[in-house]
Amino acid sequence: MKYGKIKTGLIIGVIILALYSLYPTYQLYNSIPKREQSLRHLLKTAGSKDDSIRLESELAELEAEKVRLHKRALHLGLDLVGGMHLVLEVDKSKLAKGEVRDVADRAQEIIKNRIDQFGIFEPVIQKLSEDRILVQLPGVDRARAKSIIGQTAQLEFRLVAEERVTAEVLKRIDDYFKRQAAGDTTKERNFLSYLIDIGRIEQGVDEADLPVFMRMLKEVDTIINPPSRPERDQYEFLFGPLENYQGRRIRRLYLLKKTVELTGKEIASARVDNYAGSDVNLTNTWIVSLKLNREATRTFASITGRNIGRRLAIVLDGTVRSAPIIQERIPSGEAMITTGDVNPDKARDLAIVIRSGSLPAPVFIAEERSVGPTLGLDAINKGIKSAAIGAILVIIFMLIYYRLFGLIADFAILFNVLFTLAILASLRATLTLPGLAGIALTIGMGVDSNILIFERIREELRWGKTIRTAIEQGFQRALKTIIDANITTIITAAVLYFFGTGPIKGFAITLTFGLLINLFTAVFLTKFVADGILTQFEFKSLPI
Amino acid sequence: MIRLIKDTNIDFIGKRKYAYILSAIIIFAGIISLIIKRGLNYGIDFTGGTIIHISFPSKIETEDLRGVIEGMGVRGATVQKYLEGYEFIVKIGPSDYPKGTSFSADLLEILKNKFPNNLPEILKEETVGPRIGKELQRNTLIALIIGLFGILVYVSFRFDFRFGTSAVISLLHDTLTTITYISLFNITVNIPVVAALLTIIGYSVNDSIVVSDRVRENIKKFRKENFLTLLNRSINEVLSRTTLTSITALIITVILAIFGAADIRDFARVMSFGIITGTYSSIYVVCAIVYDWQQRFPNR
Repeated sequence: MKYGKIKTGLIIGVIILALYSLYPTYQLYNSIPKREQSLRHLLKTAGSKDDSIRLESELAELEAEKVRLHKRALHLGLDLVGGMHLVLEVDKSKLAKGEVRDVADRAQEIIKNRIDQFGIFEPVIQKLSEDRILVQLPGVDRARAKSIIGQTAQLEFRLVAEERVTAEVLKRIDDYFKRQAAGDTTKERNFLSYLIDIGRIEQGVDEADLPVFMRMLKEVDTIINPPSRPERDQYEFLFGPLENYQGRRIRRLYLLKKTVELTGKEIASARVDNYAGSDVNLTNTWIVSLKLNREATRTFASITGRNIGRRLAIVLDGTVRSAPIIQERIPSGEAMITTGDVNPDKARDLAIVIRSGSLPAPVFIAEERSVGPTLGLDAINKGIKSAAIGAILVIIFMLIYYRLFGLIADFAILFNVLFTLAILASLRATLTLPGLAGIALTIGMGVDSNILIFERIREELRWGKTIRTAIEQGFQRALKTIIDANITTIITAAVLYFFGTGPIKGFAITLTFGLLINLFTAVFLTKFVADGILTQFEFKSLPI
Repeated sequence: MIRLIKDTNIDFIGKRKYAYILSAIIIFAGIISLIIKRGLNYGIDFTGGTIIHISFPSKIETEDLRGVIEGMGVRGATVQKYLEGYEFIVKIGPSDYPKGTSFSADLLEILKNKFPNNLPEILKEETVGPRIGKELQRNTLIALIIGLFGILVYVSFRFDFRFGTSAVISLLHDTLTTITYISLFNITVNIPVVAALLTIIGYSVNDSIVVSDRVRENIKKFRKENFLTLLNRSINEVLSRTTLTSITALIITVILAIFGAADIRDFARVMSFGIITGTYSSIYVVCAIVYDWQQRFPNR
């Protein structure tokens, strides 16, 4: 037992290291939230204003502490914390050949920009391949985040066709369809019947009629733009966003010039503001107020100067967001997009998207795994509860079946879990729900090592060996078998790590490390404690 | 000391005929089940599609929800009741809704308009696009092949030829019986289930190693002994350890299967069955095959 003191020292040292590396996790998820709760409670019942201020600053400090701890604590997966996991794919179909290669980089830049503005804690934005981007956002309003990320955000300023031009085109189309129908008066072919009058000059189409209407428009493209007409005089029908009008859901119809006067690239800034105009329907709603850069301001001034009385449409991703009448020449390069919403969220999100610039190509969701916060919490509870119940049952079993040695084995397995979590924390690995299952499985499979040893010891005792010899033989014979027995499981776990998706990687990591560490705890730790106990106490018969 | 398995002397090898029959029945049942059900119940990880777990504060009829979804133009949706009237699981196929639009966002929008006093929350949402679905299929297959290959390499090092081959056969046996279990109980095959299968493949070899080690030890010790007696002795000697190991692992997987959250439950169910079949095959299949092999082609 020469090395007894060194061994003891080493083991205690390792235990302290493990506890130290896990302390931040304990603070972040346990002690700090408790302090926060009690502080908040005190805040509610605070006496003086000074007290309130003091408490608030303490709470702010705790927030900052949490941010610092996040770097050193165990990282919880999205399936436990709640949040969004997206793999976005870039639609390269409409791109020019040269642009294809760095489109994912540019898209990633822009998406990162938008997410930064949205203000999410610890987002992950990563380029996966030439056309795929990974986005992971913990604890976020998923609908808003998705719309911010996914919006192409192509902004265009285009002139709306004059009233008489619009009326003429509509009539021509109607004539065409009437000719086509040749006397058949069903609604199908009565083009003008789809239009709903809004106010004096505008029209809209009912949501339900849109598919048919749009198909009809496609049919008459050459009527809208006769081939003889030059490019710069061509027009296009576009719609406004869905809105409520007299109890129906409609979209307004606009005839726009195809020429783009200004684009989003020319915008210097986009700010959220209260509507301060004359339209009574829009009081108390929020708008995005745009400011163009210097070049564009000049262009804008000349366009507005030349087209007083006409309407200038602001088109976002093919939808006409607003089409105000140009009352006068606008030298300030300012314009606004109304949202018609008393909730500032839409305006904020729009501003974010305009500020970050438009995506080089549309992106769509190729894969999504999102968990709401309710379910996330539920998953944590279930995960911890089931792992704990399982662990306790196994521990009790070992205790009953192997008595004193069962107790030693139980300690070994607890240290096994402790060390595994410590390594996870120091590697900044992510603990997922399957990861918890992996830890539970480590417990179930890990005790096997001790079972192997103890059964061997029992056998040696039955064959009449002395207590000391039985123990030595038991441990010695078993080591090789234990390594063997766990290696195949470790091999398959390693394969799972390389080929598995996120949560399964978590399982593979906890199982692999759990079993590797088990080699140490089940053999050396257990033997060490067993030897220690034997030197202290004399046993007539071994409590195993 | 407590001993669950006292000095037993069960004639495993003598009764091996029954084991062969049992295994054959199970595997056969699996094949029939696969044929009748046309393959396995693959989850969206492999087929692609969208699954939404949606929860309402007040009761809503399944038919109403279904009606709304059909109104969105989606034909092949399945709406399952999770919590009668309050929680539902909606599943749509990969091409049921146009790419680039969000089915869940649109669904929420429409539900908000139709039932303004019953605003639902989407608890969980998973979408797998067709391209990624295919990639996951491919990667899973590769993972299984490499996993098996890794095990085979290890087995060829560790065992002698006959035991090695028998271990591999028992491994295949376990894979087939587990697939039978998955097919019979209609377990949705998603990535966690495949992970369970892979883990079982690794775990199944463990017990085989312990048995074969003991056989080799006994061959050295009892040179004169009849092979059948020797095999039986070896199995009976390790029986205690083998059953106990399965019990502790089974405790964990059964608890997980009962109390765990959705994905973990399926994983744990497959693992539980895999542990049982893995133990059974290590006790029986390995030695039975080695014995019959020895009978047909004696060498030692």
